[in-house]
Formats: sequence, C-alpha cells, structure tokens
Amino acid sequence: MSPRTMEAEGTSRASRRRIATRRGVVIVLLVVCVLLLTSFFRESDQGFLHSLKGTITDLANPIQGAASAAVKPVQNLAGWIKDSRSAANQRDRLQSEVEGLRTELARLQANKATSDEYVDQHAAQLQLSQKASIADQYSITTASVASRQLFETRQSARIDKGRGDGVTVNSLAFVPARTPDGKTVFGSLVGRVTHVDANSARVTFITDPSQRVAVSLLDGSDTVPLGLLQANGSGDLILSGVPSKVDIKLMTQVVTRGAGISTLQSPYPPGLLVGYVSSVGQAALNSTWTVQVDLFRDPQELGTLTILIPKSSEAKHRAGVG
Amino acid sequence: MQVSVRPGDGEPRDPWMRSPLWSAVVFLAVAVAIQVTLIPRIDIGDMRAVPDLMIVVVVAVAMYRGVVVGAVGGFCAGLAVELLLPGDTLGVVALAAVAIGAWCGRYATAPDEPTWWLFLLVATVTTGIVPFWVGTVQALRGDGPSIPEIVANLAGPQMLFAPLIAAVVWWVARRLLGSRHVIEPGMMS
Repeated sequence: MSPRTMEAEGTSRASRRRIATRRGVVIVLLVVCVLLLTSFFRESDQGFLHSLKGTITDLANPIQGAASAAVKPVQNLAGWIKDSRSAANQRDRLQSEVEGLRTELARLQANKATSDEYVDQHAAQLQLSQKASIADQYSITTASVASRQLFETRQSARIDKGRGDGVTVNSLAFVPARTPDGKTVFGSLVGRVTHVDANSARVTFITDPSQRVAVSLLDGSDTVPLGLLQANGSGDLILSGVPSKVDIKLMTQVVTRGAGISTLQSPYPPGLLVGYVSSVGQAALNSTWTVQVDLFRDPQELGTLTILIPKSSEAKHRAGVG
Repeated sequence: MQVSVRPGDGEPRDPWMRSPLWSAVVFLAVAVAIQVTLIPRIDIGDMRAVPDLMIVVVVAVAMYRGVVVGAVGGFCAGLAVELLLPGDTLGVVALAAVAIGAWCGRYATAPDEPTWWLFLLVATVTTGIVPFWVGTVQALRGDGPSIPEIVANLAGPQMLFAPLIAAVVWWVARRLLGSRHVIEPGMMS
C-alpha cells in the first residue's frame, strides 16, 4: 500500500534538496514531539509544559462549554430518542419478565397445592391407619386421578392404579378433610372402586345417584341409624324417611353403618366419616325427616385419592372379592 | 520545484479557499475545533472511545497537500488536540499524527489520484494505530491498559467509526481541497 511517488526525477540536485528538506522537516517535527513527550513525562505537575497545558485547557473550557450548550438541544433530542428506545426495550423486557414470573408463580402455586394435598393425604392416611379396624383389614395407598368425566354424567374419576397394584372392586376411596377449626386432618369417605383394569380403576363417588350408603348419625359415642344415603339428580346427598322421633341437629357428623345381610354385605365397614347434616326438613303432612348431608370435601377438586384395598379375609368378603 | 500532479474533480469556488495552503489549514482547524468541542459530547453508550476526526482529516490533507503539509499539519493538529483536551500526555498524539501525515503525504506525489476506497482503508488503519501508540507509551510509563483492552475499548470502536467519518471527510476534502497540490518550503518563497 506504500505509494509509488513520481520522484524518480530525484536524480537532479533540486529534487535531492527537496527530498532532504522534506525529510528534515519530518525529522525535526518527530524530534520535537519526542522532546515534548519526554519533557512532559519527566517534569513535575508544576512544570512549564504541565502549566501550559493546564492554562490552555482552562482557556478552552468556556469555548467547550459554549459548544456543549450549542449541542445540548441535539443531545437532548438524541437522548430522548435513545431513552424512548431504551424505555421501549425495558418495557418489553419487563413484560417478558413479568410473564416469566407469572408462569413461575403459577408453577410454584401448583407445586404448593400439590405438596399441601400430599401432606393432607398422608395425614388422612395416618389417621385412618391408627384405627385398628382399618389398619388390620385394609392396605392404604395413594392414587392420582388420571382423568375425570368430560361431561359429568357420572360422578366418577379414573385413578392410575389398578389390578397390578392390588386394587380390587369395592376398594374404598377417601379424601383428606379438616375439622372446622382446621387443625385436624382426617380421612373422609367419598366413594368406592367400581371397575378395575390392569393399571387403572374407576372410582364412583357417593355423590353419584347409583350409589347408596347405609349411614348412622354420630351422637357422641353412640350411633343412631338413619337409613340409606343417596344422591339425587343434582348430586345432593339425601336421606329420606328418617323417623321424626330422631333428634337431628345440624352439623352432626354422619358415618357409615356397615349394614348388610350376611350374604350381601355393605362394601363399607361401619364407622367411616362421610359428611355432616347440612339441613333437615319435614313435609307438612309427613311424619318423617328429609335430611341433607354434605360431604366434608368435594372429591372432584383433588388430584389424588387415598385408596383402602381390602387385605383381610373379612374385608375381602365385605368387598365381595374373597 | 514544480511537482507534476493531475488535478482533482473540482476546484474550490470561494476565492479565499483557492489557496492550497489555506484550505488545508482551515480544514484542519475546523477538524480540531470539532474534535475538542462537539465530539467529546457525543454519547456513544458504554464505549470509551470517541471518533478520531482529527487523524482522518490529517490523512486527507496529507494525501492532497504532500508530506510537509501532512507532517506539519499533523503536528499542529495533534498538539492542539492534546493541549485542548484534558489528558496526561503532550506530544504523544502529535508524534503519531506527524508520522501518519508524513507517510500519507507520499500519496500526493503518486502517479494516480487517491481513490475513495484507498482513503477509507488508510484512514481506518491509522485511526486504529493511534490508540495502540498511545497505549504503548502509557504502558512504558507503567500505567497503560492491556492490549485486549486497547483493542476492545479504543482501537476497535475507533476503527468502526473511521469509515463513516472518512466517507464524510472524503466528500468535504474533494470539494475543499480541490486537486492535489503539493506544498513545500521552497515553493512558499
């Protein structure tokens, strides 16, 4: 990239003199620069060159200030454009950050809900296992709800455990529920297994009109037989024909009676908590009560169920599988 | 004493600008003024480097007016920039500008007129050389940045700015300086 000069004519004396002059000027300037820089570096901050530079810089400051003021509007315009772009970028970044945080929050909330549900399930299983009548006769397991009815023509759910896991027809399904004070968790009966496949099973809830449960009223340590609890078309659990002589208080707990004949026993053992009395009515010309029972917890809202699989021969006989 | 050069595209229209020397002086003076007043106010984000207009103009003046004007112009412009801008050096930038002006001045006596791409190339390379030279001097004093820092923060950005500045400077130089006209001490008398 070095230029080809036209100084081949440098053979003449004038040309040689011109080249020498040129080189001389350059060399002198280079030497002056070297002297300047070495002197500047060697002298102290109070030296002549430092003072000269400081003075000239001070003199130039007002001019630079004026230039600064002159370009201020342009700078402001550029700054405004830059800030606008920066703000837009920041807005986009923050929006995507908020979206990410919302997703993360939803995930954490879902995790927490799942975690809480598992804690409650284990607490309910612990409570159930402490009952000798259950611990001796049933093995307890947790099953996830694999799918629910798309259109709820039946109150049921499919769980991810089946014959391979030991699940049989008439295995019992529970959900964790809490006492009104919210401190104690217990297992509440919600249904039974009505169909079993190799790796899944269908749980039909007692809120399905096809299900009937013989129940009693838990009155202190005594139980008062009430009759058959059955859901109506709306899914409300109704006890009809309860003798009016029975004293029924609201919020009284309802438990399974375990009634049946020896050849066709109820699949539900006695004493399992089902729900509580939510309303009591009496027709004008009727001498019986109509009692509405609410479950402690809606089984449809949970992702897991506690399943009690018949283990003893008595439980298997009750379930009709042994 | 006459150097044979081919004329450029256009001649300056203003009579006072027809003087080959004065047009170069004005060009350099305006470049230095812009370099010390406006350019330091340009906000280029996180970049520490600012465009080096002065060196690009020194290259242009040298290419149109020869070695002596290039070297002297580089010395004056470099020294002025160092004096007017805050800094801890004096003569360092001037030395680089003298060398660049002297070397680029040889194009003024080349058989062919400098082309725009050659000017852009030379301007870009020289603007990259100056930060290395200044960094080397500071390193010799024991307080210089490392080579990667020079490349990333100074030489690299300046070499990016250089083609943009050089394009404008080339356009102005063609109109202001007109054709190549070598000026040397003997010709002034």
